[in-house]
Amino acid sequence: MARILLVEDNEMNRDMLSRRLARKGFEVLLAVTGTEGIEMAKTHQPDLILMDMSLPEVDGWEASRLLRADQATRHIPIIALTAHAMSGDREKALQAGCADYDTKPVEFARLVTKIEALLNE
Amino acid sequence: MTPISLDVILISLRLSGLLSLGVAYSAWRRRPAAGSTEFALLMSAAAYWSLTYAAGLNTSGMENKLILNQVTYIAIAYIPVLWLFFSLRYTGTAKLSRKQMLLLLLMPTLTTIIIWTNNTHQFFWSNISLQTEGVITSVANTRETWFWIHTTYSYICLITGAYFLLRSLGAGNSSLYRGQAIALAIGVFAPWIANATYIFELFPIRLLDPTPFGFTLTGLAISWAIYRFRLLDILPAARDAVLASMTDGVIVLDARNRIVEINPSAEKFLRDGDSSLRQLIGADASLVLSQWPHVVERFQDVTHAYATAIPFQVGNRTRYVDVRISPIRDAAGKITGRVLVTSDVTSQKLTADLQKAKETAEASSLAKSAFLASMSHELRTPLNHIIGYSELLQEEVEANRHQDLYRDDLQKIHHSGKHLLDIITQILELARLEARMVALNKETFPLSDLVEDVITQIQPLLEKNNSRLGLKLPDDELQIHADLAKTRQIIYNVLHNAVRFTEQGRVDVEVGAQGGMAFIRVQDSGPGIPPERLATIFEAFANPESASRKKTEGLGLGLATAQQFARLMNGEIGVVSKVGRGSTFTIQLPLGVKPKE
Repeated sequence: MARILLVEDNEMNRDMLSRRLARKGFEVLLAVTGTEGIEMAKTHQPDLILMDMSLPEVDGWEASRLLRADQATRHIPIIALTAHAMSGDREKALQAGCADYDTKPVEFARLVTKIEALLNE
Repeated sequence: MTPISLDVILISLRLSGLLSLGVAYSAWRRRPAAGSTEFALLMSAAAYWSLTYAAGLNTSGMENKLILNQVTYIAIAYIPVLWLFFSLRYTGTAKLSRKQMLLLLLMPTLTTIIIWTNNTHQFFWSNISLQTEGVITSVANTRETWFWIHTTYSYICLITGAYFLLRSLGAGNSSLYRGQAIALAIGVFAPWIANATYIFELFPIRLLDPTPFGFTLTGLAISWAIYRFRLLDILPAARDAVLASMTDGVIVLDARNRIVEINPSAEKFLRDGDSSLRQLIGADASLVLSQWPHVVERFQDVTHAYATAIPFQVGNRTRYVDVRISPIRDAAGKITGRVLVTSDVTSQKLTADLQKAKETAEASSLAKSAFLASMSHELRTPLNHIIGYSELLQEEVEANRHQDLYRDDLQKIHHSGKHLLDIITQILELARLEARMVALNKETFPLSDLVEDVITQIQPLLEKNNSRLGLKLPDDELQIHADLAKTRQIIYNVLHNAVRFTEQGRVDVEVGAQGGMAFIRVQDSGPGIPPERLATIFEAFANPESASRKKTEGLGLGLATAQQFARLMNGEIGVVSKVGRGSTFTIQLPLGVKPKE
């Protein structure tokens, strides 16, 4: 069973997304801040990370860069989630080392397609 | 009467000569001022006259006296022409060409030659002898034809010069210049009177020609006028021209607040304000300005002031005027009048006011858009939760496969939430556009592929409305350099709009290029757009779905957004429509590939 780390500071988004992912059969790990996300990625070695970009403390952009720079976590694909699609966000996310990118509100079916595509690689 | 000694006469003449030289020197130093050079030459000649004349009187013997007399006459011959030159130049009446000057100098030159050769022809003088009367021994002679020609010519020059000088004074027409006028009048007439007394033998000292004294007096009077009134600082004609052509108003008031000088600009302003005004020169300023009591009250006795944007009611509009007041002082420093300089700053003030209003409006518009942008974002978050949780519940209901009733209701909540989210997303997009928070992400891509892609996207709606779509693509591939996502949005919004309103009809899409622009033409056989709506079709919030177009949900922001995007990329969307016939939207975007860097 694939293990997904969801890094998201908004409680309802976190709850909603994690429950729906769980229903789809994923094992979901939760982190609230960027720092916590990095920590959990190292210790729990998830198969994939869903990273909100506007996080307190270390934001999603920085956290992704750090994860990519670390030998222990660089192999884990990251899907960046941004609150609104600013032009250039996609490029920014790819530059930060994210494998893919999606916008919130999450269109669940589309997100699942992206997750599965990455997991099957 | 005690006869005056020769020494006194000689000293007087030499002193007169030195004074003239001094005047000539000081005028020479002011050469850049118009007329100064001519004046210096004139006064040099006058000095020469005095000094050589004194030498002639001081010498004895027929031969010496005759030669010195001829030497002196050189100055006498040239002075009238130099006087004329000075007058013409100083008053700005005429700027003589070199040729004209040489022509005028021909007569004195001829006179000089004739005098120096008089012995052979006696055209100028005859019966030359020495005569003595009192202390003076001088050359006596009978005046012949050329003497009178010379004298006539000299007087014509002197009178012409005097005329222009006096006329330039008259043009000033102001009591302020009285001292100057007197000085100049003395300057003009002194040599005449002196010369006339000599020619008609009226001078008390017989045989003495007082004309050199007259010219010295001229020099002193005119230079006094120069130093006192700085006459040579600026050409009077030029000064008048400056005053007349100034767009600023100039009013000179005397100590009793009467107008002694006013320029056309000020006069026009006053007459615009009160057409019943009569003669302004000599009028009491407070009466002339009585229609603006606030001005009279404020500046009644003010001698130094600078006030900006004073409102003047002129006719039915307000004009704003800067007023500068400076005192005029006499030699003793006593204030004898005031100069008011006014400049109309109405247009500057109005422009400034407008600019301010514009900036305020723009700032508030930006603030509004920024507020809307953040507000929309705030609205979206809870809405996402509503949608997300309703989706979650639907999934759970479906998993349990029991409570079908809940599922329907949940679907309704979900549907409404999604719709509301669409609206907010559109508003957010527009608000961000208006708040200038949108950046372009340009790339070069083939247009036809994109159009085909969007058509695929729109297919379900097309089928739902039972309409058909025709597509015409260009033979050559069209490349455009633009923001791909925004171009897609533009095409989608326009096409979606056309398909949405076309039931059981046709939508034709044509892609092509014309005049450096790529175009996508979307022609539908829909109901068409009434003219009153067509005018505002691209304006946000201006097109609420009307009752007659009960059609599907929509906020009418799609076209506004598309137009904003198109313009952001230097493109434009145009529309032609006829009710009952359908509409044609044409999207134009600049052709071309990425510019070389």
